[in-house]
Amino acid sequence: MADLRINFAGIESPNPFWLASAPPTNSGYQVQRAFEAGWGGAVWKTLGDPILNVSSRFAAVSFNGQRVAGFNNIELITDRPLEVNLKEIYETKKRFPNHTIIASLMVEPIAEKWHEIVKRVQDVGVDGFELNFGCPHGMAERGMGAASGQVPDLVEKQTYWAKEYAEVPVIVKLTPNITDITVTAEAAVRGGADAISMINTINSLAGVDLNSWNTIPHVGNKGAHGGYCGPAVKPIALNMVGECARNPHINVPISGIGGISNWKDAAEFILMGSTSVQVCTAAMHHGFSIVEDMIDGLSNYLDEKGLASVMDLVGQTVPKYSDWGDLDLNYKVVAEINNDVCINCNKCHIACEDTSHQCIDLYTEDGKPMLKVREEDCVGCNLCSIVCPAEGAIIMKELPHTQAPMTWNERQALLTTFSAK
Amino acid sequence: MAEYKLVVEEIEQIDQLLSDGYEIKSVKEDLEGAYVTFANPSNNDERILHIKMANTRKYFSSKLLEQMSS
Repeated sequence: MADLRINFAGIESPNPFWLASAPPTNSGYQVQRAFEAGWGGAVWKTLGDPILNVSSRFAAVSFNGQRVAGFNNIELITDRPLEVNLKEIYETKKRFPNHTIIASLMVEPIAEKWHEIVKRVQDVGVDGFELNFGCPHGMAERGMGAASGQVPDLVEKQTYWAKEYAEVPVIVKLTPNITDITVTAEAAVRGGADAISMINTINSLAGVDLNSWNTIPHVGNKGAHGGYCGPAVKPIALNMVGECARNPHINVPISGIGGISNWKDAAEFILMGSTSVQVCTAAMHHGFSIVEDMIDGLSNYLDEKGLASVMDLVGQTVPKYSDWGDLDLNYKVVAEINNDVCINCNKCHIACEDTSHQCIDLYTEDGKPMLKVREEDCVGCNLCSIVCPAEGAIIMKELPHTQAPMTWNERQALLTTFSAK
Repeated sequence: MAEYKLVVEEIEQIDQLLSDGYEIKSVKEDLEGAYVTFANPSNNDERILHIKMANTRKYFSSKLLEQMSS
């Protein structure tokens, strides 16, 4: 059985599955239940000046029958006194000394504020800090969270201030509400971050009620933007993790966050460079016990791949992640339809005819409707295989190179060199 | 639609010129595609092909790479 233990910037954890800083990690009762269920770590709900919350707070987007495809919240950081949280952190750590407890922190961008909270929280024995520079709602209006996380100088300074007093690793949690997350990730590294985590939630409005014309959620007929998370944000998060993982100036471990719902999602984030993964929405949807399947699934997968440790999986896909300009223009795939499996719904034909390259022909053979791809006109866009509801009816097959591999960047360099001759 | 037929036609024109001893002399690309000038060193004759199809623009690029590598 593969070893699921990780070493994350010096933090030892029994497995890579951590609960993200959010409602599931609001109290010692919850975190201890999570550890009993099998979670390797928890990032305690953000500590800072206790806030006041509103009601209601959450909303979800369901899509085609899938509940909670996306999740929106306008809840803020902890509303409990620091002393209460610290007592429960201490008790939880004492009961689970081998589990990872990270304290999420958020204060105003003032050196003394960071010094004070780091010292006080450190004294109860946390394994690390996570600086919350990502919360997009409420706290951002007060100059904290995403508001300071969108300014590289503030990310660098606040990281530096936390590091001045931190005796345990400091993780900087980044906001995705920015054009290029590597800029703030680099700022965190310059400030001395031991690791980074991403993504925090994305600015969002879950919906509008067509009867009342209220926003969803609303607070007494008035709404405000929230933070979006859950399965819908996974592709955005995965890209941001990958962009940071392949950036040579961001040479610190990454904790991946964003729509991770099962062991496969976790494995993808690990392959893209995450050493640990953080989960929130899936736990809120299904409860803490989902970690059991995550542990079994990841363990079995590692065994199948012949890997002794999950650490051997970290970042394996990163070298395969590049820029568009470095992709081979002469690589070609085309669609192939297996008419024995095809159910003749014609979705592929309609999709190709209406919105792609018009290369799937309908014809009849022995009175039976058939579909065939004209390979010479197929550009390999994948759309037909994406819309096909019959598993295995359409495969995308690689064609042998007819020309040597050539990227756009190589082509443009070639033309430039040629023109200069 | 058969855009491929247009690609084949353009590739055949390129291949014909190359087999007749022409070499790519210059490439100018703009909103209308690419204008590729072929020159024949043996008789100084020049021909210009207006390449409109994307796959043919990949093709002449590969041919140019071969030319510069030889």
